[in-house]
Amino acid sequence: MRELNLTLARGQVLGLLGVNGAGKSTTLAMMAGAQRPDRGRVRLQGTDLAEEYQCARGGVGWLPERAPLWPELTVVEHLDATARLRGLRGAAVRKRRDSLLERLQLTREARRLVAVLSQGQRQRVGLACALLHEPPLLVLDEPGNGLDPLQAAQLRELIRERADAGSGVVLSTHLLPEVTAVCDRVAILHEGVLRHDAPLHSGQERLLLTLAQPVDAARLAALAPVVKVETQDACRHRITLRDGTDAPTLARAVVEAGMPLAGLQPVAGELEHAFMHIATRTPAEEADAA
Amino acid sequence: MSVGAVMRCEWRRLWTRPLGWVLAALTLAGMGWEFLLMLNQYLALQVRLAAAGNASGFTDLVTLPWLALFVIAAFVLAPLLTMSALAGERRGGTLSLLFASGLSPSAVVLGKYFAVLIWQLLILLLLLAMPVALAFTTHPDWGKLAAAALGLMLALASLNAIGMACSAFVGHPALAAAGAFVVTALLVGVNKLSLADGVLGGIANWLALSTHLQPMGRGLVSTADLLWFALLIGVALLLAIRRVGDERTRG
Repeated sequence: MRELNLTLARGQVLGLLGVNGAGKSTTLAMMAGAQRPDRGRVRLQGTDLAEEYQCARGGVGWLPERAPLWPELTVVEHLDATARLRGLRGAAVRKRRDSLLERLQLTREARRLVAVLSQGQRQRVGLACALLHEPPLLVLDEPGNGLDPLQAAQLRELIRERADAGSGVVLSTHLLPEVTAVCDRVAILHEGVLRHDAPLHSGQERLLLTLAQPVDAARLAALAPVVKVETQDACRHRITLRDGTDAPTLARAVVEAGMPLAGLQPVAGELEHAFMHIATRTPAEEADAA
Repeated sequence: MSVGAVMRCEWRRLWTRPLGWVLAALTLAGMGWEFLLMLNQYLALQVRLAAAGNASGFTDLVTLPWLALFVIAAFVLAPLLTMSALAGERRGGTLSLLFASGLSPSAVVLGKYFAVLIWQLLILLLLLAMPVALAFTTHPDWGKLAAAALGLMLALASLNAIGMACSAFVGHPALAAAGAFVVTALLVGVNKLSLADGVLGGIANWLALSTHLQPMGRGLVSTADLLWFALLIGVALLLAIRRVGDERTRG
């Protein structure tokens, strides 16, 4: 890693993107206190993690890639061991453990050995371990691995909840829709260097609307969820949605207005363009651009 | 506190793994069989021994030679039980979880060390129960028995410390076990050099495990021997702690 300078505020969700080998997992391991940078500092609420590594104990919740777990322990034993290693004990921890098991749909697996769990279940156990002590910083490396779409949606909800509760969240993923759905800010790493760090654009979502018959763009623009209409051809329009509205709201509005809806799909946004641009640039091109 | 948490976690893992149980069962069965054989021989000789005025008793002829056999078992037990302690964690990616829990390298190493050591000390305790169970029918020499038990405890502590150091330095548990076997074999084999004259013989004699263990097997406990064991355990554990600490930087 070189020239990496990131600051995360409480309640903020940072999406960390990059191609394989860009340095995302190393960055996250350093943020979690699992690795020590040979130069530079990682500070958590003002405390240097390398000097005061104990502050990682209650301060950081880390879900590494592929959720490494002790296969000989049951799910409950794993969570209890994690709590003890972080110096937590008592009824409050057990209550928190049980509520997390329920929330992450692991109650039925609670007494099963970790070794026999599926990848998705292991991922959720790892997530429960990361959330057990309600850390002010949550570091998630590919948390959606092995999760089905429903569980992935619940994960997004959980991340937003933690952010609303005041935790900073760093999320590394290859799935750009996951980033646009949950992150406030996005950073792109490439070859160990931070190439992009900016807030995501407003919550305005862009969709490609396909109609079975030609419809006048003015009729579409008059719909409540629509901010902007860019016509591609008589039946296809790029729609920019108003903040806080989503694809189902637009679909309902289109159908209620009597327009023959044939299809609705997200448009690759600025984030994807930025990512592709950075990831496909050679160092020489980068130097020229600089 | 942290050492205790790591120890409890490691102990629980040992409890659920078959390896610890299999090794304990084999050791207890083998040693139990040997004890019965030696006791049988002693009983056969007892009348002749009683006739001799100043003959050795049950402790000298059965218990101490029998306990000496446990050292051979310890050469196998310690490397096999320590091999996964750090190398296995590293291989499974869980060592970084321990670091991210804010634990110091010394807490990680010592917690794991004490867990595997206690497992083996319990095996030793069960073995000692065999001669102790005959205390009502024999007259054990408690002093010699205690010295031999202390020697075995220290030998176990040393071999486990060597195992931990090997486990800290390599990436695969099998390599760690092999490394620990080699180091242990060197500590035993260096005794051959002690026959040499001069400084080399002296050094080899001082380095050899048997030089410091055998007197305890005869009931002699000296400060120099205790210091040798403390030094060996300390150096091995320090190396393991340093290596685990470096792991955090090197990744």
